[in-house]
Amino acid sequence: MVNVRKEVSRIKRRLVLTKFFDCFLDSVLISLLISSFLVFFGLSFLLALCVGGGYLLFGFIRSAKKSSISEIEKKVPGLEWQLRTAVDNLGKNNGIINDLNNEVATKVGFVGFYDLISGKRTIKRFGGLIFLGVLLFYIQSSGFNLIDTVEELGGEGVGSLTGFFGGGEASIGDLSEIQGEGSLAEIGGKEIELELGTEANRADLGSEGEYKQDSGGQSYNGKIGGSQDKTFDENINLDERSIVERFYNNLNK
Amino acid sequence: MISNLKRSGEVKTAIDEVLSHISYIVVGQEEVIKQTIISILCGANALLEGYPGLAKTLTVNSLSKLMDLNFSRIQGTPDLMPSDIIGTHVLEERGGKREFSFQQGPLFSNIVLMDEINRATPKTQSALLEAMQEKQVTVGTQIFKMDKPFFVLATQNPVEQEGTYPLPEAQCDRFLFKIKSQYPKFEEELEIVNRFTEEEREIDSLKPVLGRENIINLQKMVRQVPVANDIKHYAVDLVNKTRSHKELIEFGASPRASLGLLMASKAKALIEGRNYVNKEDINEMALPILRHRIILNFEAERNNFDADAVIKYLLK
Repeated sequence: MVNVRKEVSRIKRRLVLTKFFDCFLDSVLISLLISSFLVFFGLSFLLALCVGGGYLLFGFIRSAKKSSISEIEKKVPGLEWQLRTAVDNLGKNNGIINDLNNEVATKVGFVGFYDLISGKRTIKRFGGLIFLGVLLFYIQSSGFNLIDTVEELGGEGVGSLTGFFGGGEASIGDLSEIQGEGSLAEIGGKEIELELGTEANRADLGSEGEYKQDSGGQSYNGKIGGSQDKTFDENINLDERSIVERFYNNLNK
Repeated sequence: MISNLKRSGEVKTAIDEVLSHISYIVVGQEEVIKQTIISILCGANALLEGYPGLAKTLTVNSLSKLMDLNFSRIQGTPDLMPSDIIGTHVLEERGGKREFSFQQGPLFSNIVLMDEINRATPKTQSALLEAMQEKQVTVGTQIFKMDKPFFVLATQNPVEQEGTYPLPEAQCDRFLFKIKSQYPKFEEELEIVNRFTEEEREIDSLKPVLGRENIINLQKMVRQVPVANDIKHYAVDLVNKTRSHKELIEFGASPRASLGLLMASKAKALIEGRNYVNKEDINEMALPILRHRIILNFEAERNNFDADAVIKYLLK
């Protein structure tokens, strides 16, 4: 008589080993993924190793606890319901049960490690490992760092007015770029309509600007919108001069 | 004749041989034949519902020949009395001495075909109960044990309900299966026409394949077929569902249905040459086991659901 109990224990151990292999692959995959992310930002990948290790430990314990006979049956279709029936009826002895035990023991004997692991899933994971490995190697070898790259881009003066990614501080006299749709500016208690449309406007508030008086009142002779895309002309009263200056100062902050 | 069946593979071979022999006489009706064999192997009784002329008697008679069992047929009529089927005491003269002796009725057989059981009166129907359930008959103070194996196949006509006495639920529950006999397919009917108009095929030409002892042995083997705990849970859960689904079922099946479901699944597995029961066995046996054990409520009937549709819904 075949000792089906022994065979079942053996296949259970094999299933646990498969679980460990699965968890190991997953943890390596997770570590590589996080490492790539961290290296991309120029950070140390020690954290990734910790996360991967933690996943391996807890993931393995969880999946080992969950492992059951039905899982083996799903992976080995020839054993469907047979293995469970044999396990549930261990200790009983009659002709039919003995035949079943013999059949199960024979079939279980042929079940190897490769029958228990999911082929497609493992291939996918290996694919992922290779991809992430190559990506990590590339990032490391090229010395690419997202933050450095962004700082470099910011140093070119792009958007220095807003200060976003900007290295320097905008000041009066700089040739600054104002982007936006604001056409009505509220300065102090007064409203000044500025034609700062959707197109990129540039305001040059250099000290060499001229201030001319117009027939309709006092006018600012400076080149407001001197380099803007479309001609900008506006009459401003003298008492509004300080307001205008404050407005542009505020904008350049 | 096949003898000494020990393994499930041998059982499958023997049953396949029975099926091939019976197909010489009966065309089609595979499900009816299979379920009848399962009933016999479970030591239980079956209710066969079908229109006249669907080879019900021919099937059972052929099986009794192939299994080397006694066969008797009782026609259910309103004037059929219990003593007509059980038997009665008759006065006999032996050696100049007169004494009553029990004359066994047609019930004392291995396979009893009770034709149109719903035409017999409830009194006669209930006379069958003890024989069906206890495998014994009590006449006066005497108890007569039925011969083993004992199997009652009762038939009823789904139409012509006038003048009938529908079986009470308690009696229906005593039948393991309610087998539904269907009309043959076109090709099968063509084969029937060809076969029986060109040559004469006698039941007597059938030779026994399985002996009485083999049948008793097979009945023991059915009980030996192991079942996984998950399968037991599944079967009991299914029967429980018939009691909990009040939106469709007014009265569900009794625990006798759970017993029958597992026994029938074991027998099905055995005749298919398996040493274990799977979920498909339970699903397949659920229909004939449960269809006469559930009473649908008005809502189900209003939606034109029959028992089979409700059981299939429960299986989903």
